[in-house]
Amino acid sequence: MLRFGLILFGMIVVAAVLGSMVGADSADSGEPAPPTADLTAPAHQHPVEIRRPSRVSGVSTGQVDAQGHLVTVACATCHSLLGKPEPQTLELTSVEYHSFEFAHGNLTCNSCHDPEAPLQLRFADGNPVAEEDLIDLCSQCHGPQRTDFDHGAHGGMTGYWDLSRGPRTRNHCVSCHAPHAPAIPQIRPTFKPKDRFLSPSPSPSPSPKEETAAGGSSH
Amino acid sequence: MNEEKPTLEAGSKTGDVSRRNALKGIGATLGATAFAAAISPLRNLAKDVSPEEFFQKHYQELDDDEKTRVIERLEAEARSEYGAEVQIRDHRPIPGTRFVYAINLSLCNGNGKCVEACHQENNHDRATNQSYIRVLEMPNGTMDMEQGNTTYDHAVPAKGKFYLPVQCQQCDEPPCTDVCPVQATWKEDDGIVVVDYNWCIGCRYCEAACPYHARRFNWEKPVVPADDVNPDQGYLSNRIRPQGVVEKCHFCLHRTREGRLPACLEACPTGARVFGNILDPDSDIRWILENKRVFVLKEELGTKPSFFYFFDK
Amino acid sequence: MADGSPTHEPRHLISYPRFLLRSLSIATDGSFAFYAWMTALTAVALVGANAWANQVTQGMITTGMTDHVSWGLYIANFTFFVGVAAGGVMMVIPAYLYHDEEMHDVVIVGELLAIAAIVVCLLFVTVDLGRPDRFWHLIPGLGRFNFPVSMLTWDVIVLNVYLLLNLHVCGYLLYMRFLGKPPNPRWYVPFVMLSIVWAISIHTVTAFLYCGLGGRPFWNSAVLAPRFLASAFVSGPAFIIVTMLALRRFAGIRIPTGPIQTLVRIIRVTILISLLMLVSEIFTEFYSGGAHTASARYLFLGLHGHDALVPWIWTAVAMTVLAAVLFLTPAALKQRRILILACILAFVGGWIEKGMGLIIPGFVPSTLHEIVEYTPSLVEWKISAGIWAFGLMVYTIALKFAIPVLQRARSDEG
Repeated sequence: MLRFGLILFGMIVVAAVLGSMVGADSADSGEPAPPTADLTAPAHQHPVEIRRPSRVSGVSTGQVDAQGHLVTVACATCHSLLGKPEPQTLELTSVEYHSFEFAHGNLTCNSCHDPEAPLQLRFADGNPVAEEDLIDLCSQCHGPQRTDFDHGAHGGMTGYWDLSRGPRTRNHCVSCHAPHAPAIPQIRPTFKPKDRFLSPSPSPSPSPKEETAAGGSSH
Repeated sequence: MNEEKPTLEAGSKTGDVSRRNALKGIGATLGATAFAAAISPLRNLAKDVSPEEFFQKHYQELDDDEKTRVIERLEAEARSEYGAEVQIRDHRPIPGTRFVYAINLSLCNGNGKCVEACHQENNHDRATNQSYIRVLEMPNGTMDMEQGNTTYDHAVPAKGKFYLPVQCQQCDEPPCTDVCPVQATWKEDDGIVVVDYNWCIGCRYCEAACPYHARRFNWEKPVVPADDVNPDQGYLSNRIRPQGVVEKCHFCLHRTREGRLPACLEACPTGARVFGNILDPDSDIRWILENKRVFVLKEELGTKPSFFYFFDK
Repeated sequence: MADGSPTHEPRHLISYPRFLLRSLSIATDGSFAFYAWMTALTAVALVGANAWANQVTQGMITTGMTDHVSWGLYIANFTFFVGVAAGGVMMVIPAYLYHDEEMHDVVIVGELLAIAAIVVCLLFVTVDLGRPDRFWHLIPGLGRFNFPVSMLTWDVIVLNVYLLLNLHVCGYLLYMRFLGKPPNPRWYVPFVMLSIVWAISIHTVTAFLYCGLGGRPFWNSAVLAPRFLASAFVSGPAFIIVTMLALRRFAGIRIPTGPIQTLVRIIRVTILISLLMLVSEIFTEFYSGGAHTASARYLFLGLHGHDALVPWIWTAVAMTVLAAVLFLTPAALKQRRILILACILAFVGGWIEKGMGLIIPGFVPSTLHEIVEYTPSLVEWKISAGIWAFGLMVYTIALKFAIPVLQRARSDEG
């Protein structure tokens, strides 16, 4: 599909982070070990796989795909970010551009994107970020969350708690947090208890007789 | 009656007595017939409860052959009553495990996915949205549950609120198992408090004893459409429960005793839920208990929950 | 027929069934009013039996109970009637402990009340079970009896033993009358003494069912058991007074005034103790305040707009206070109507307070502080009425064969 080719950050992170998450020799929180395939893990341990982020936020095309998802394209699909406007002057903080919302603290595009090659992400020190190290890019600012992530206290997961019996799949940062607007939006809970005392309108207590009759007949 | 002075000593006017006795006999027969008619609805129950079910022994007294037969019978019942092909297994604790759960209240946003996942995983009654989990919406600045609300129905997380999911705390000193008059509920070696649904007499004393509203009673036979039935079932966990017995959260033991994560944890989109084996020093749960300032609900009651809560910020 | 010589076993084998048969025959003889009364009770009991059969078949969804208020009218009645059963013993104490001769005449009225009340209690527990077909799981030896950890198993034991004790004492005394022999104190006095202690135990253990639950602060009070006893020693004697007056009025049975006066004196004390404990409880709850008082606030004042029990509890308090005032006004009590009124007020007040007023607020708010109110359903009322009717049938029949023979024996002796 063309769409997949267009997605800006279609990074593939199939890295086991066993060393930092389940291994006894876990990295200290200040300097998290890069999540690379851990060859030191015992042979019988199944891997922990970090979910491959399938889509990241971009600019809306106004169209909807077969699944009903909004089709977005990367900025660089149409715009060259090289040269003009000058990277230094591109002080995006929280603006709306082609209905592209950017709300990520005080960051600018160039905080993470290399102005010379916008598809290339870079660390604060200018070194390029490999696709599988993307979590480290986030961890530059979100250290405590990274520490929690490494210890299973942040980020959803599925699979096995016991890695000797089966693998585990973990959410990536961007599985839940859109990189350009990371705050999780409000959602409406869809599943609420429907106990029978909740179903009739919660009008303040009717007379005992009426309530009895209602309770008896409705079931 | 004033006039008569009946005595206990034998012998009196025979003719009168025999007429009286005949009338009494008729009265007694009428009464017995009326009684039989009055309790005739019980015939339906007799149809539902087979002799094998009636005489079934306590779970802990069943040998392997008996368990196999019981499970075959239960699977057949699921087929005939719910139209569902299910596999019921008897999961035993994994040696060397002690399950502990923790919830990060800074992450939980009250979306209720865990409640729904529990509902589906555990073959709960569909009409009531039954679930083992209740989520309280609490105002910041208090832990007083009286100010909480479980029936909130608006976008979450709401400003100034935090969310407190409560389910069975799998206490180390469970008041519910103490009070059960027939030992139908007990704590297993891996810390899970289970119920033998075929032994419970439905007195609901455990429901009164639980300080966490963790127990549910089957006020009627649960209704689950055949397509919705989760066929992956455990005898002590999510098999469809009979009417009139108590049930509770069992940490999805049909999953967790196979090494899998509980359904509520997998469903949590925020990653607030952490589950693991506290006996494993390298486990996530162990790290949390050692590094986060965790607390338990109603600690003053001395129930020693295996369920912890913590805040990040 | 008996000649005073030591009885041989074979004679009992013949005479005991004859005694039972004869008793049954006498107990079922009676006037038109008696048959009308029994027929009416039978009808109500049958309605109850039918409602129960439906409840068992369709599930307890037919009741007003929920996972929030998981005990209701049945357990409320159970609790109250344990008190009535224990209160029956208040006839026994003066009769045997203080050798009140007049009391001996009517002591059986109290013991039979205990029997009927225990039957009622056991029925109320049975109808509260979700799976009555699994009742055998509770039978020691057959099932798995969680003794001594579960207080419910204690209750099963003390209630059944109390029933057996009273059946033995009543049965023995009546059988000896039947044989025309003076009862041998060795065969009943120890059991009478035991039943006095046991009466206290049944109500203490029943209180422990509730006050042992740490998660229910409303019940988790040390004063609960003594309060139960105090109120039991009001409602039991109150019921017996009314019974004796009714026997005098409708059955023409000679009832001496002495025992009634003794019971009035007992109630005079116990109703005050009962009120004192209620006041202590209310003071502790409301003066200190805090989250633990939510149930008491719900009961007496209403909580967050939920106030279903408020009119009931204040009615109960008013009835009990009024009854106390009446009992403390000897001049007024001389009028039989006032005495009956005072007894009924005390009895009904106690029923509300110790039934719905005690059980329901234990669940409101729930342990997660959700407020779900409870109203008994029609099925629950039918079943409860059926059990009351059955209890009254048992009591009527028991009195029917016990009273005349005792009266006769008394007059023979006199």
